[in-house]
Amino acid sequence: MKRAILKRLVANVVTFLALVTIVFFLVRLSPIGPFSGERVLPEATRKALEDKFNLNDPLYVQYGNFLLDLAQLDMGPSFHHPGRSVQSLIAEGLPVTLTLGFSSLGLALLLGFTTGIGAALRHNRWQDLILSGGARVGISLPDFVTAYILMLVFAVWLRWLPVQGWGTPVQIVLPIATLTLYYTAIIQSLMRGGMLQAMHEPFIATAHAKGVGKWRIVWHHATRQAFRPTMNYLGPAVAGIFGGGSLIVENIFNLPGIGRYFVEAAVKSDYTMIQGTSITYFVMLILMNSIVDGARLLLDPRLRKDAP
Amino acid sequence: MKRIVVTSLLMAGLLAFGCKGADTPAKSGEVSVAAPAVEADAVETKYYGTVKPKALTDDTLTICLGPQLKTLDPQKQDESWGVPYSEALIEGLVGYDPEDPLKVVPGVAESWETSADNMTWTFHLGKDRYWYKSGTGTVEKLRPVTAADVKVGWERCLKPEGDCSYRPMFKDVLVAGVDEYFDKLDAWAATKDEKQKKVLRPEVDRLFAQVMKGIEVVDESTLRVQLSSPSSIFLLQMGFPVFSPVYREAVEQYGDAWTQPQNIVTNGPFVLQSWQPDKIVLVKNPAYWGWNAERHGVQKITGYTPSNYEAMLQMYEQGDLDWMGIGCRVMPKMVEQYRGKVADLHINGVGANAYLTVNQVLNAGSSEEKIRLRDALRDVRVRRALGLSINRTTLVRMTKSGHNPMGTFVPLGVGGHKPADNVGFTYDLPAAKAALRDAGYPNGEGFPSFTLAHPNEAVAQLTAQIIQGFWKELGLTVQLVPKQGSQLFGDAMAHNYEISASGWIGDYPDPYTFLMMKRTGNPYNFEGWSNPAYDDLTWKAFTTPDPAKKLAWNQEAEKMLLDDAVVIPLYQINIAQLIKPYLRGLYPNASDHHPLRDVSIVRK
Repeated sequence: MKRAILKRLVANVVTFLALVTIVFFLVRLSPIGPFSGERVLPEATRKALEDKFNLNDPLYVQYGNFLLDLAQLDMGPSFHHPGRSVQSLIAEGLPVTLTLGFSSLGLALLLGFTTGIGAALRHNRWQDLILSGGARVGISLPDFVTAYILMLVFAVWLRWLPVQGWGTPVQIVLPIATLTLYYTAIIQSLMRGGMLQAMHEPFIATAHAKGVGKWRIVWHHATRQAFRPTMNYLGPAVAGIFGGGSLIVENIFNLPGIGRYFVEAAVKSDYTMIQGTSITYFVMLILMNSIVDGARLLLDPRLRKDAP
Repeated sequence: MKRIVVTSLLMAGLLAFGCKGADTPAKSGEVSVAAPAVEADAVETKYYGTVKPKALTDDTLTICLGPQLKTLDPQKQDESWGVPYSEALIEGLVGYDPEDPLKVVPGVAESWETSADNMTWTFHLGKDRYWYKSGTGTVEKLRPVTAADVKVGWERCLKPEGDCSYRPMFKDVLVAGVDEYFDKLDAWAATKDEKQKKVLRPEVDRLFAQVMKGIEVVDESTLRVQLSSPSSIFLLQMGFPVFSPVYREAVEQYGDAWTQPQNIVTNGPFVLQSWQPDKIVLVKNPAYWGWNAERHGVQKITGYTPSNYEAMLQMYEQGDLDWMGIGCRVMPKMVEQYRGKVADLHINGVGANAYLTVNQVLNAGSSEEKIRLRDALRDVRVRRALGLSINRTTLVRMTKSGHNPMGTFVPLGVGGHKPADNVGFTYDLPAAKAALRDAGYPNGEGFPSFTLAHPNEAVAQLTAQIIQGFWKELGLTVQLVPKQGSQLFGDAMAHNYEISASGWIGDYPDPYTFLMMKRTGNPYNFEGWSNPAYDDLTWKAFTTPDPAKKLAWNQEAEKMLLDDAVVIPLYQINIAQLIKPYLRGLYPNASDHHPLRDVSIVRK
């Protein structure tokens, strides 16, 4: 067990280093440099900027400095936000993105978990048809459509909620609702599928035969099994908060999260910011996958036995 | 100086000029109902959004001028939507009349004079101009603004390691010695040869010192500037953020971070309360010298810097936003729908154009097809045919962009410019066909295949497709090539294109900001065209103090450009903004320049 964890840790560090290295060199391979905007910069101004960000050093020196800084959690100054470091910009936006992401994912887990099980238990009855139908719609509707529908109904027609912004509790409702609807739809489908499958497992039949009560079978025996697909989904879903769904929702509702930097940095070839946003994403992805793997070990005794 | 991606003003850089053209708004106080289109059917005044007057206690101006602000540093300010905030915090050497941005009013300097030869300017700074620190929440008065602060601001930009993108503005306003210094500096920066670098450096330092000597701090409150030649725009540009003073102690202490709310030291009508990615909040500086009974400003300005303008439009409609302008653009479709129908939608032309550029120095290599194309594009008759076959009115109508069709190059009204009679392109298909026939391609027969590059963006693509349709009428088949904005521009500068969409936003209110692009060897001379007579005329026109001569020479130069079909003009950019009728001191103008200190809220 300990060895497995250690192995995992080493693998994670190697993966992380490989990823940041690829990003470091990829951004510098882009034909569009950070200062080749639409304005013709005089040679001297360009040089001054490049010197300021140490872009005239040999590549291996830049790479070495990048790793050294990273080891001290310094992602460097943003090219396009003078006077601001990448980590300070990310730190400023992270609480917003995290609040948005985790509250909607949490809510979605609650909703998706219960409705998914409910739908499975009422398999092919009207409750199931309504719930699964709703989930199909939810999955097919892209975030930006849901966001605008919610905005139209609640902010424009009914005027119950503000159109945009961040700061007051009411402003957070629509963005969270948008993401929650989407995540709920997915989690519900996964839970329903998992539950249906679990209910057909031999050990459930055994439990029935032993005369275990229906609810005890569902909660105690089937749910554990049924939750596995959802669990596998959660890792990437949490990492996806940074870059995927929240990016669109943040942009539509004008939230000051880090979503905006993913696009802006790429468009403007802001090297340090691209590195910063990528690193944030990698860290989340690796961290979440590890947590999910750990959780699977806890949930499934078979995996523990298999581990050397 | 930023190029514009055709029709997309969101990408635009600074608009730093003004004009007294046909689009100058009415001068009476009532801005909101002054749009001429509205007056015609102004039986009952309609508005786009709620116009409920603000509560008596609410003296907050809530605005949207564009996306997230990159900087508040005046020397580094190169975003049009950042300029009003920059200016409200750090006051420039001079200010502008909000009604007519071609009129200079006192800023840090309370008066100024020029020598007889118009080459030496002296500015006298007001005694009551102070620096203020507001990081702790209270406004703390520091020392007076001095001439040395102005010089330090200029030096930040001019010094060899200066990195402000508007540095070339010092050259534009003809500060003495800058031209020579920049040339040497660029040569030093460009050379890879270390020995050469060492040789050039002392020369660079000497020239820099010489430039700084021409910017003279006579005493605490007097600044004298030497020019290399009389300039018609020097004084006018002195309110541009790049020429602002800075509180040098803060810059020295905090470096680039000196504009952060806790560090910043300002001298303007407002102080910085907070600056976040999604909004910036300014608070009135009660100690500012310029407040009086007429100009009293507002207590607080909340500026949203959003990513989604539709949400802003909604807020405006619901009465939660007072002004949408500059980079916070009203959607073109909305303009189409509401133009002339609501009194709070203001549309006016600005000093920006969109045109097609035709490469006359195509690198054909050994390809026979390309050699034939190069020769065809060099033929003025071909270029004229391409230009005459475009119906600009139809183009603008079909793209719903709301711009002004224009067959000439310099946008109407820039620095008082108007084109000479009977120059430029009008839609004339028979004439276009005749010109193409004369060039040896009757009905387009035998014309080599060619491409039109355009920005990879919806409206630009539609524009290109419509032009493709017009050229089909000539029997020509053009292939469209979408490119990313900066690549499109880079390729145009490298003459690596055949025909390309292009556009320009002027930097200062003089036609030279457009005409200079096509001078011999200018980096923006994408066409590779050269005419010594044109070079001569444009420079003479730029430096003459006589407006009549200026107009005549500029007209003559523009005629050369158009007669030779060097460029194929398409339209002048129109801008639209929404302004609540209860705002005062906001005047739509061709510079799209709006000092925030003059804006107030009328409460009845």
